[in-house]
Amino acid sequence: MTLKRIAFVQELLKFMGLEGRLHLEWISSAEAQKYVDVVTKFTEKIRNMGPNPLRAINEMKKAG
Amino acid sequence: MDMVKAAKELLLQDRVDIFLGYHKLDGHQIPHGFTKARVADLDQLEISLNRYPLEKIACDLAQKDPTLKIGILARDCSQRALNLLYTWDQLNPENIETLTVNCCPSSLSTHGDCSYLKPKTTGEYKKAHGIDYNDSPKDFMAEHDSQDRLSRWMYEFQKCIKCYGCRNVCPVCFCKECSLEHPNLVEPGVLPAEVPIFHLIRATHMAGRCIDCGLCEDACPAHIPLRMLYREVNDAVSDIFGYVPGDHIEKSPFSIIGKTVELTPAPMDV
Amino acid sequence: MAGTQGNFKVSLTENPRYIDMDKCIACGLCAEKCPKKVDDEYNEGLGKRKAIYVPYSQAVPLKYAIDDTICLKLTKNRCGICEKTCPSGAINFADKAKEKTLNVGSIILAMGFESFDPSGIDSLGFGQHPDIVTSMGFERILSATGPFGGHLCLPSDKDHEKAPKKIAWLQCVGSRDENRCSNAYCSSVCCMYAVKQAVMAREHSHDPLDCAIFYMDMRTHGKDFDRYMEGAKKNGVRFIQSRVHSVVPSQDHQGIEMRFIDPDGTIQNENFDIVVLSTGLQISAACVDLANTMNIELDHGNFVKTDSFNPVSTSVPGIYACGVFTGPKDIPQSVMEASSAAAAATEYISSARHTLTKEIVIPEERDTEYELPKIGVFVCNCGTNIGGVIDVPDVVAYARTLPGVTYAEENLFTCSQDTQDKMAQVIKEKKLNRVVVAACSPKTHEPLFRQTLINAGLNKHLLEMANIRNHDSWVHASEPARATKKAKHLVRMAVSKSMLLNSLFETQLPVTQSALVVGGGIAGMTAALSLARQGFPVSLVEREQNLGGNARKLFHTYMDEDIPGQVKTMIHQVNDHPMIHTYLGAVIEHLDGFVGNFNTTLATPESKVTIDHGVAILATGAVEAKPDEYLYGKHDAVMTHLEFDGRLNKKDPMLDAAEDIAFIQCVGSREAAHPYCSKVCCTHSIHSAVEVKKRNPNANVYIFYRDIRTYGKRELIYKQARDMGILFFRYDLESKPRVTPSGTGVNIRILDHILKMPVSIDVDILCLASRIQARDNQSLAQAFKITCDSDGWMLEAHQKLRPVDFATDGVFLCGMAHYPKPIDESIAQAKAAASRAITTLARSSISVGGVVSRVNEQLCSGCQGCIEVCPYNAIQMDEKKHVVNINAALCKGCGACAAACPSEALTLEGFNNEQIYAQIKSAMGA
Repeated sequence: MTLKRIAFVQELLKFMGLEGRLHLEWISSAEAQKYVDVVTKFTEKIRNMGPNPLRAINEMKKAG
Repeated sequence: MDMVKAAKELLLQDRVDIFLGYHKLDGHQIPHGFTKARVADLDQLEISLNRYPLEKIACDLAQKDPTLKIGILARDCSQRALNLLYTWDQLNPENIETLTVNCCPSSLSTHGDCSYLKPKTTGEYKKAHGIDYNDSPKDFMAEHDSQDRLSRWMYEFQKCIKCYGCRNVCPVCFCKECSLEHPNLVEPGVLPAEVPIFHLIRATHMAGRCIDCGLCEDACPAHIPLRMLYREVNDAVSDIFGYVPGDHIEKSPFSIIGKTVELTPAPMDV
Repeated sequence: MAGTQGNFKVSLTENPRYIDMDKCIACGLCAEKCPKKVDDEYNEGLGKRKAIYVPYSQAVPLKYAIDDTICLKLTKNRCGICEKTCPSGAINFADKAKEKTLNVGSIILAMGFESFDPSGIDSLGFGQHPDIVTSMGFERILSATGPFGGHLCLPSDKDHEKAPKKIAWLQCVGSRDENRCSNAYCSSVCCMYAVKQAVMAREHSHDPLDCAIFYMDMRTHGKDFDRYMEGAKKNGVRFIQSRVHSVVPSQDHQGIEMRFIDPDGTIQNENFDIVVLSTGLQISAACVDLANTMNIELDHGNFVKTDSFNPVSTSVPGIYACGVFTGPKDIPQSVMEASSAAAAATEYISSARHTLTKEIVIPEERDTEYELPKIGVFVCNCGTNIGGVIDVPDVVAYARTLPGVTYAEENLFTCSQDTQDKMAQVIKEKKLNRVVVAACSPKTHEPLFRQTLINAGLNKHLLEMANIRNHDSWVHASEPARATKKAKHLVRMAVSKSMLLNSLFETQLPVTQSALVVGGGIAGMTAALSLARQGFPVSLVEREQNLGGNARKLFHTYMDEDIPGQVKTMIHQVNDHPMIHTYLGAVIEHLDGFVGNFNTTLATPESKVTIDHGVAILATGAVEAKPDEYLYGKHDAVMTHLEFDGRLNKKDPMLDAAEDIAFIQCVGSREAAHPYCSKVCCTHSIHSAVEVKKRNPNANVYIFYRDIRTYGKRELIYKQARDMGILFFRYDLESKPRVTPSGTGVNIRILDHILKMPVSIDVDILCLASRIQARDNQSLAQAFKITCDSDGWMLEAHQKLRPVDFATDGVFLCGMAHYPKPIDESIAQAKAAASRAITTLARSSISVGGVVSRVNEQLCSGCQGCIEVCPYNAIQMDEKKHVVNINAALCKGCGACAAACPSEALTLEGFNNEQIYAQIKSAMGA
């Protein structure tokens, strides 16, 4: 179910030009190393992508 | 006219309690419920061009009286809407009789008379900054890069005046309380509607539901290419789940857990 | 041990742990500082552990222990650094062994197995090269908690970087072998785990990995196992039928050389990077000693001697055994036997049930519904675990500024007993009505803090936890300032959620303390008898006019027990038992209700009967399929197993007169249309063949097979058959035997693999090992809301860990309705089902409510999306109101429905949308 929903939302975000900011990974409670790896990799990826463009748009809007 | 005769028969033989079609009032075609008591009114039955979500009216009636037998003027899109409403248990197919209108051209009918058949004209400014109505989701994806896609959608969404017309006219929107009015999801009293969350919530709820009738886009006073957005959403659903809403009576994949996992999560591309 | 059944006196020695279990918080500081390192036996010596350690990361209870054979303090009176490091003073070097005496009515032995040690077999090279590992060792290599963190690499590579390109598995190491060891039995599980390891290794590997399994017979006889193996084959795992005779580390230290004879008879050399020895299961010397002390009879393989009809009873009344101690078996079978042993152990002493129960007095709960939120925040230092990184006083000061918070304090250990008492006091004094504990994981500590709330007269659901240890101080130890900031965020989120918490209540629903058993075969009767013997009334429903099922048509078990005789005894016991009411010729017409409160309508030949019952056990069995090949039904010489057994029972002269008798295996099984193994046929055919040979030693007996699957102790009868001169011919699916009429008998032609020549044999009787087929359980499945798999077998809740439960509460399964199985396994599963059923029946009421889903009928549009996603069948449609409603007795609080509902009509109590939105908003609003 989660898998289906996430796959869909990933598609939708891609269509809107917001791809790459949603990721799904199964990590069991016994896989500490995997958790660290995935979170680190994803954090770095997002950092490289820069801030969410929507934030800029919404701030512009507030500023008028 | 055959349609009038057929509708009269439905009422006179008590096969339906009410027949939903259109009639003209002050020069406007508007939906009307014809009854046995005033069966002669059916002579004024209008079937062409204009479209309203008659299925939505049927839902309202059925909710008030679940035993009510309803006749309904059905275009192809209505048929899909009805299938979907049967699927989601909003209408009982046993209580619905349809009279099919010559609609989209097909092998059986050489002409159609739906207002939607004419290609829409998109202005030059819209083409340059927004989205062409007639673009297909695939072409749109191919022609514009990610940044461009975002800015074009933002251009379109920011025109929204939050009239809820898209939802109100939608034949397959049946929730009693709508997420679009949920203060935790969409900030109330703010214009334009919070972008893009307002439209993405609706798009998400249309996934596996939208039957591509185009009424929302017709209704939108801000000319947002909603039909194309929901087409993309449905394309995703049919690509990922192999499901086309309204095709036949079958549950949406969003409500099926399934016994085996066939998908694998997409790898993270850096 | 002294005494007899119903009254044993057992003396136990509890070895010192040198750790106070009440004080140890498993922070791990001691192990970090401990200077003494040894090979970690849990990781098969592939990694290291300290002298103070937890055996493995998921150990329960998660408490440290000191290994007194190597600890420097305990062996040489030096060091003692752990004592100084421990923040909670849990180290106790003066700990002594404790003697305990228990008075018990029954004893269950579940002592497990040890993996065969291949060091003694020189030709396998174990110990001569680090890349030759046992299957247990390889299991650790693949594991995320293993020595290499789940990275598939060569154990010989010190940097753990070099990945293998080729891995070989050698089956039957320490099993089916009386030459190199004395384990004649088959270990049952190795074929399947080797396939699993090969598939997983390929998944772990970044580059294409060549996996080859060298085997004698692939014994993947369990539920869905054959499918898994075929899947592995399709994905490129190689299966080579060959017993490898030598494994040699290659001269240049590049890989390991294996020499073997391939199925065509040619000698092959192939190099592999890792060789996994699929070591078998065996009983340790210590277990044998203990069994001897208790006078328990063991068999040749040192397993507990049991019989098919009492699979968990030892030779000493009142002592029961389960798991591999009674014979090699896999997880589901072990789990079944465990429940089964529990049932057997309580049957004799059931009158003592509830006699030692103590009731807890709970203080009255304060009604807080109309109070404004008064939130108390308790921030834990966890010794230095949290306090050493996070500025706890700063977090407390911050918490005081949050809206709704009327009290905040820090504790050294919030979970310690004295803090708990103090906390309850504070809650009462300050009239707190929400409690936020910023400490560790709710997984381990929520029950404890909930108890504190109960003791303080608060509803236990008015608690919220913020995990500032595992999610914060532990993972951000190097950035204290930012960790403190994150702790504040976490506390703020918890506070904003707690503001919206409300009291949740549980109500008691009475349980009808009786059972319905569907199916009167061996499994159904066993379950009924076990329940009745423990004092619960049973309604036993059988569709046919007689009890007994398939067993009535069988001859002997592979251990030569007379089946029809035993079944007759069992039928008498059922008929004579006052607690069992049997309905013959009856079918289930209608079923209502749920766990604890079922109501079933039966259609019997005379009338309709309605039965109230608390649980149901489904034991509807299976049938022998009628073959449509090998001249079956067209020639009198061709028959199925059941028909053959009928002749054995009748002592039919036709059998004695026959000079040549053949058996064909896998008739209808393990084929595209029915890709499963019928499990019992290999043993059945071989036992019948042996019986024929015993009656007429001059008869020629032939068995045509694909893999002989005489798993576990059954291997011995396979050996006996070969010793008696029964001939075995292997065939594969592509070249099945061809059967043509030949006078009063038939002619069988097959291409022999070893001789590479066609073989033609005329036989007087041909017995077909026909597939076992599931019954059509469609209507039963609908009534009980259970599912069947694609082969028609009923689908259990979890294939490994819950093999007799369904996802639907209060319904259990046993016998061949689950999967084909021999009598001993049917009986074990039936007793297990009874045992599981009693977990419900033994209670007079069940608690309903708490963290469950709730429907807001005003919002529900009756689309039923939630019904489809509910894994527990807890949601029903109210057709009249056109809304759904939730059966709180069945709801497990998973929240799937709340996520599926487009209108938020369904919410999960304790995790409702408002609470979650509040948490998210609070997280974003920093």
